[in-house]
Amino acid sequence: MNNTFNFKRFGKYLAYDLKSVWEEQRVFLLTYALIPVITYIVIVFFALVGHGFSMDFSDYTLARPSIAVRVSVFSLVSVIFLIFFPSRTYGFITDKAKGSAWIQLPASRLEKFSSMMLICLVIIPVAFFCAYLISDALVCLVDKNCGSSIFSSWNSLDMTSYDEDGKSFKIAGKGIWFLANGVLQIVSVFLLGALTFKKNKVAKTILTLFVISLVLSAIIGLAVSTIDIESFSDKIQAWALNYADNIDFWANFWSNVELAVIVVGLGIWSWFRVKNIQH
Amino acid sequence: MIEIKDLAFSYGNVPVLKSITTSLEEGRIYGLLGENGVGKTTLLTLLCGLKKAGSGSICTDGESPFDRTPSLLEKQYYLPDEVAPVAMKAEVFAKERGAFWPLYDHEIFLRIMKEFENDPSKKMNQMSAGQLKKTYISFGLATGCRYLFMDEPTNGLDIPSKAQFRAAVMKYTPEDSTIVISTHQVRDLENIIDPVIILDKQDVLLNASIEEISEKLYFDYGTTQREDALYREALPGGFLQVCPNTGGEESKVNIEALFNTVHAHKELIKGMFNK
Repeated sequence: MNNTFNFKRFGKYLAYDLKSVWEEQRVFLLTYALIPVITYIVIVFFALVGHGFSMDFSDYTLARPSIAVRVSVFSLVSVIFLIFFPSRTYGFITDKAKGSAWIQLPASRLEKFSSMMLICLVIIPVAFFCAYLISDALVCLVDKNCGSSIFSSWNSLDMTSYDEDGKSFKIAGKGIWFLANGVLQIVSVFLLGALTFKKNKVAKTILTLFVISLVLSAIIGLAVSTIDIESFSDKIQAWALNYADNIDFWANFWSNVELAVIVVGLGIWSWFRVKNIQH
Repeated sequence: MIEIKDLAFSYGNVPVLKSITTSLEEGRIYGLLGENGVGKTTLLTLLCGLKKAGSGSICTDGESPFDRTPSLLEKQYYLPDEVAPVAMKAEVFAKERGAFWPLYDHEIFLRIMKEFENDPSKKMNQMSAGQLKKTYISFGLATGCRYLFMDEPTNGLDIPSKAQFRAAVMKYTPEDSTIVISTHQVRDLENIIDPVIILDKQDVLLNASIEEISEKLYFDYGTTQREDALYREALPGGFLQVCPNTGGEESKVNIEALFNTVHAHKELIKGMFNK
């Protein structure tokens, strides 16, 4: 028997895991995904009750689902969902009774870990975004003031920066990549938090991130104070001029390296946590 | 077969088990006894791989339980004292989860549930603590595992269920299985456990079969006090006394009295049984 990884057993475990996640989390997922519909119903209700009442916030009018409002709500809801779902989905692993039952299930550690990563990093985010976009599309079917779709709006965003000479370079092209990047980083961090802390998983993860950022800022501050900033920035500028033709490539390259290091690093940490967890 | 060699485990700086060496043979139902906090649950969780040994080793059919390999997990089932109430119907839970144990028999699960008078179509998070425990017991027995570890299985069971539990364990476990039951309710399981393991702080005081115990100790249910009694307990109309069995007489082992005898004469009993 292959005790490390067996595709047949992995398929069986993945199906079991998906079904369990669906049974436990469907209400949570659908509630977040239906926020466009819920929000729209609330707005229409207040508009009807208030006889044309609208909520104006500077340039935005919430009386109709404009693209700006929809993208803002989408971003906010997505971030909240991505922060909370890993602990709701796999936080049970640190629980004595449920975690023990999970460990005792006859599948290898690698199969359980792969299933968890696949579900957290790909399946749930994709399912959430699909459900959210369908929900948003339903609102737009009813109300013609919607404008373009959220997806195309995100996709058309490019993360373009400009240097002093007015030359531009794009960081990692389209906004959809930016979205994927954000999803992978947020989920990786909060999944590790869910596997590490026994209680108040999200709050403790946020607090840990805050402490880490303080420590890193202090270290970077100390490092910067010991180097000659002018010559360092000259070197950076010289490097940028040298590679001016390939600046898009290098900007993308380093962004991808950063993402890979964060996601792989957190993934490895999560793996060791899952591998060695004890009850 | 499970072989334990020089096993030690600590919670931080607090040692719980220290240099335990013993073996658990197939076809036996071990009763794991001990006072509160001596490490019964810790030993069970080490045996099923939920904890990693501090030092020493556990070898189950040539594998270390902490490796948590599917080949070993398929052969073992651990029933903890506290079980999780899942938001699923018991029969669905058992069928889906049972698919991972090759010898799982859903018919046996349903049969044991019926014997326990437990409704398999009820959601587990709507069950009482006793019903939930009975569901997990039914599932554990239906897995057909060679190694079954149970922590206080009769806790929370009503009086008829305790008898049904004993009957189910005898009826539905394979003949070559090794069952380890940790319990304080010795009277609930007196008729099925053999051998008996008594744990003391960090040590195994006794690991002996009922036959061996009755060969070396005599359980006297008479009315006169004996001078050689290691332990004496007043009963209505007489005494229960435990004495060294010098005459080779046969007697019915009372596990509660045995436990108290072992605790009162630790070194004597260890010497008697380690000969």
